[in-house]
Amino acid sequence: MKTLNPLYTLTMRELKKWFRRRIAIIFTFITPIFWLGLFGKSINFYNLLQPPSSAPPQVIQIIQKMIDEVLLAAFGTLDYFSFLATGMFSVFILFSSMFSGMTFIFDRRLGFLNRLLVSPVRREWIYFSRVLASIIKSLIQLTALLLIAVALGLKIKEGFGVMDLLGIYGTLGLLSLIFGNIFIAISMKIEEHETSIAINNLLNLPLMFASNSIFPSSQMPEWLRFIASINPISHTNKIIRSFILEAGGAVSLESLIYLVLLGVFTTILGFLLSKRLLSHI
Amino acid sequence: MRKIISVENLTKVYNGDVLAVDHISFEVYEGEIFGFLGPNGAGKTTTIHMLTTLIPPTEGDAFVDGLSIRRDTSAIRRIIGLVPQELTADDELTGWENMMLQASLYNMDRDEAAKKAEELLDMVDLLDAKDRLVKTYSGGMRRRLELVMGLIHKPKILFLDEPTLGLDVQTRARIWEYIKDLRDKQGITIFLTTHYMEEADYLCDRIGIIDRGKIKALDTPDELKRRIKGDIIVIKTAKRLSEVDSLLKDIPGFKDVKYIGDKLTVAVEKGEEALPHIIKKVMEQDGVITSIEVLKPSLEQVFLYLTGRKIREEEPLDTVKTRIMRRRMK
Repeated sequence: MKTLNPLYTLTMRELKKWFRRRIAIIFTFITPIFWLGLFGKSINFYNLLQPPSSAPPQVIQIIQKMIDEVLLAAFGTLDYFSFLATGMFSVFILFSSMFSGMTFIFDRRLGFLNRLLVSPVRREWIYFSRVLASIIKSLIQLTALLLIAVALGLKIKEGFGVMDLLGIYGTLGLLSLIFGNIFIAISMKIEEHETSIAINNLLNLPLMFASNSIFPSSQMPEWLRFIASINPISHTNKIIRSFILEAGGAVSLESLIYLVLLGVFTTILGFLLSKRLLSHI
Repeated sequence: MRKIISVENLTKVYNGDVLAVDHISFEVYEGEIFGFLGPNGAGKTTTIHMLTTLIPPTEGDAFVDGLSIRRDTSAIRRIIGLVPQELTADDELTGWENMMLQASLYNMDRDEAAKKAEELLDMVDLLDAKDRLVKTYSGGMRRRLELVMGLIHKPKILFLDEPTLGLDVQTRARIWEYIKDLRDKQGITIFLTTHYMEEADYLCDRIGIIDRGKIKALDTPDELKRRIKGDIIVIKTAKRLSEVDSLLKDIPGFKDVKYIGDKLTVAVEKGEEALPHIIKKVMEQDGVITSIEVLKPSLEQVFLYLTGRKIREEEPLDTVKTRIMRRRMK
């Protein structure tokens, strides 16, 4: 006897539908390529901050050393592209998670949700199948993004190992869980997909800018630094940079604990909300 | 016969002031095809949604196989199947994937589900199309898929909400045969709603006529029609007759006579018995009969008689919207 598991079939439904929209998948990679290729490559702080060529060689050396130190302290790398790329993985996870709630809204409108609600299937599985599918989609996209970033010139630290790679997947998987929970839970109560798009547009850029994705938060004004410090994207970036960048430092335990707690909290919240919001139409 | 559904004072009020279902009480017996006949917005779908635990009642209760729709929702969900009004199979999956997904919702055994799915798809002639994406199906094929998706877990009671909405005559007749077979061969109790007279008349053992949230009458189709008490005879004559009232008032079972257009319309108790007398009277007046027709009472007339209105045949508003959305999603 092999019983069909609804958590599995519902997750596979999401993934199959995603996989069958090949054009849509191609488009999901275009935005990241633009960000990394156009934005990331057009800003080069290393070339911008060159010592004057007329100065004596010793002075050039000293100035160069200072520039290097400033850049390393701020970005953890001399290459701004690598700083940006390591900060954008989490942003792409945010972008892809935002749309994972959309299927809920369409299922409600097209009546498919009624099909689930009229069956005895556990309400939390209707919810968690989508979160799970969202995480799997994010991690598959991440693999492609890592390859794109490396192809565009992401400099990976010496001695980068399997554990670092697993760390990257684990951390971004955790972030994907947090955002998946938040956006899918929100979409359980929304009836119009326009509303969902409006919420996404309202949140996507602020969440990216109020983090250390594009610039280090150390030079932000106090209020913005505070927002960045509670933004899970910042904590994720900190950990990802430790795994990838030469001068990224050790993995911050504080950031890891923060993400784990946030993951647990949003999961419990999603579980309780699914019980409540999916009991009837 | 055993009561399998009993409804007691069931009421649904939306948003505090829209009374969709107004204190209705009725029973459905095991193994019967029971139908709710009424126009759109009469409260049919709301009643089905309450009985299938999709929405909670505002007042009253109903018992499905002895289980309360207020308290025993998950137990009820195991023994019922619902074929909704809208086409809700996932059109980006194949027919087979939809069936297996549906089976998983009931934690069915994989092999058993596959066997049942094959049998059901075969029954509705969809076995050849099982690996095609549902969005390539025609409207009739989608309806048939919807029907068997509601049957995969072998429900005791099947709820059908407007099962042939928007289908052409031939497809509708085919769906009717499937529904009849389900009851005749598998003993499934069927609760359906419709606003098609012929559908209610042909399929249902008993019909509840529902209008504005209230049950106006509940009986077998034949009994309902008997309530109109009488037949109508429509006669076309070559020349218009005068003083038809005094001419026909003595025929047995006479009720009423009038001209509707150029047709002489006579209401009588028993058409067959009155017919020879009418013909004789008209001939005596040197009238030449060109055609004659005996109309038996229909549900259409019953509905008119009970509610003073005609059932309008109209598509629900949302189908257009749904179609546009589906296209946009592709």
